Amino acid sequence: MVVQNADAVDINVVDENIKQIENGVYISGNNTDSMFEIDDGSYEVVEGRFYTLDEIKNSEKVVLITNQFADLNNLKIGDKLQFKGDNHDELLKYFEDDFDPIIEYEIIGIFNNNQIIENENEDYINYNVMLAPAKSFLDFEDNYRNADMELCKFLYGWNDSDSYIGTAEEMYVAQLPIIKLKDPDDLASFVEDYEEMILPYYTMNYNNELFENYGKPLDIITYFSNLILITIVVNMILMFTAIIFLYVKMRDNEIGILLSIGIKKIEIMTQIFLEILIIGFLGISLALFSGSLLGNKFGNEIINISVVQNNINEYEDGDMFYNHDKDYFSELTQADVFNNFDFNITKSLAISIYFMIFIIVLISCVIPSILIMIQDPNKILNRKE
Amino acid sequence: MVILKIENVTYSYKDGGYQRVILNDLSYEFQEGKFYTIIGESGSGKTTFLSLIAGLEKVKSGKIYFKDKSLDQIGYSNYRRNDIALVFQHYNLINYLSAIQNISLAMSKTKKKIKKQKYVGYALLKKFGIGKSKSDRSVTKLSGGEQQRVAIARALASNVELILADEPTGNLDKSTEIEIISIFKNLALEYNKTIIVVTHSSDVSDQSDIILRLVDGKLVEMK
Repeated sequence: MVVQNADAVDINVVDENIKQIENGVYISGNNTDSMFEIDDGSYEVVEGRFYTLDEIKNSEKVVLITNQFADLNNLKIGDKLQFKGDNHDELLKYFEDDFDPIIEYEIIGIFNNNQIIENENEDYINYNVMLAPAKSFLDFEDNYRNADMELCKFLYGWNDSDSYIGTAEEMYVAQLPIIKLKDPDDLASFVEDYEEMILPYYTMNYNNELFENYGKPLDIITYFSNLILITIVVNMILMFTAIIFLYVKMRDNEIGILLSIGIKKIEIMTQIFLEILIIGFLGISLALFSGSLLGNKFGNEIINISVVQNNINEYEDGDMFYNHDKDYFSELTQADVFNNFDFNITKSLAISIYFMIFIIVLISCVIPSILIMIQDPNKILNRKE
Repeated sequence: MVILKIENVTYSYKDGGYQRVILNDLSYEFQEGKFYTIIGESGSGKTTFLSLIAGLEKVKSGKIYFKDKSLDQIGYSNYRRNDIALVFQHYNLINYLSAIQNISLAMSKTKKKIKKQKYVGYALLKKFGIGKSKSDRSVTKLSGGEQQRVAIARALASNVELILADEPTGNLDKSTEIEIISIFKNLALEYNKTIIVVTHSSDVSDQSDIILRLVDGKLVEMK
């Protein structure tokens, strides 16, 4: 099926309701009950409806046409369109009743195509777009191609290698649904979930290289943050140990008194642990609060210093669909990427931090606890006296 | 009735190359409801003896029984927590707590359930001449005599039967000393508490029911 100027489309009236298109139109198919173009307003259904999931599942021959195409050919909802391939007369002769080279669609909707074509003389590209469940015409296309190849073998003595016109994947990339994930980290799981599902009619081209490239400064910051975090944790353990040690030494008289009135060493150790833990939690709560206030501003300053160049040109490799990828991916700006790296403190992060403080205090209490264990209340109290 | 029984207790420590014996096969039985004072020369082992019967230090040789149970059986922490109270020369109150908080701490740690602890605490302090406003003050803001009275109130707060005191009037003036001695006498007389006080003061020992002198590692009854 070849795209042609709508003015040149030749409609032969077969009967009152059925019209046959002699020349080509561009059928855009998908496997969902909406389209990216409808969501972003490029296509706007003005009459009738879009096809349903049931119609997609059952490969129903239903189609939406543009209002320009409908006006030009005086078509309305409920009319039927027949499509036939280039060699359909020869195919009919060869296969007779064994193969029907004509596919018939019912018009269920009319839409405005708001997409802008740079060259006004090519408006027909927009006018000749039709929307249909992908499987409905891909099945037909598959059968048609096989029949055509068989005819060529018969008529021209082609062999299998002559008849090879590409893999199914190469043949059946009929249109390019672009899916932009909210969270680039979901890419791997998305591919895993959907790659099998869309075969054989679609292949999935995916990448988040641009995102990763944009995000590189943040990765570097993350790397250094982790290093700093490890350093802080180690130093916190050392500092907490020293502080708790001094704390215990300073309070040895109190410890002696508590021991003399029968309070057990384990209770004293628990008390000191809880005191330090409360101080630690208060400290980290203040740090989280002030950190969340300053984080965004400070983080953005660091990011702005580390801006990388937009390297969208890397994708110019001449591949038609890849170029489409590029068009879509070019919408992704560094700001979009950075928005995904928004600094915020989630509940789970806060819990992790509090748990980390708990562990740090626990480890830090080990050596001072030994000091408490060897405390002798008699010696402490006599020392005082 | 015997409340505390000391049986063949020997205590010694190395002083340079010389083994110094402080308590030498000491045995004695303390009776319930009596006010005892232990006197002796400096270095005779009075404080060491008090530490041993207070369970602050473990006996290396011999046995100490509280109401027929050895301290090992009772457990040293449990013994200090539930069965005795200590009064020190330097009061040994927790500085950053108020008087009432020191009392409440002592009441809260004992296994004996004391209801309305704060009310009982204030009443106890009032009995020893510490009013509510002083009770709520940090103990560091109280005079030496007041702090010692708080310490005695703390000793009573946990409602134990045996009170041990080490030079409780050592830091106090004469009139306060007389007050403290009368408190101890009353505790023995009115509340049937056993009071054992280590002292240098003859004024204190003269007021006690029984005076014990520590001589050559043994207790000798003087009165």
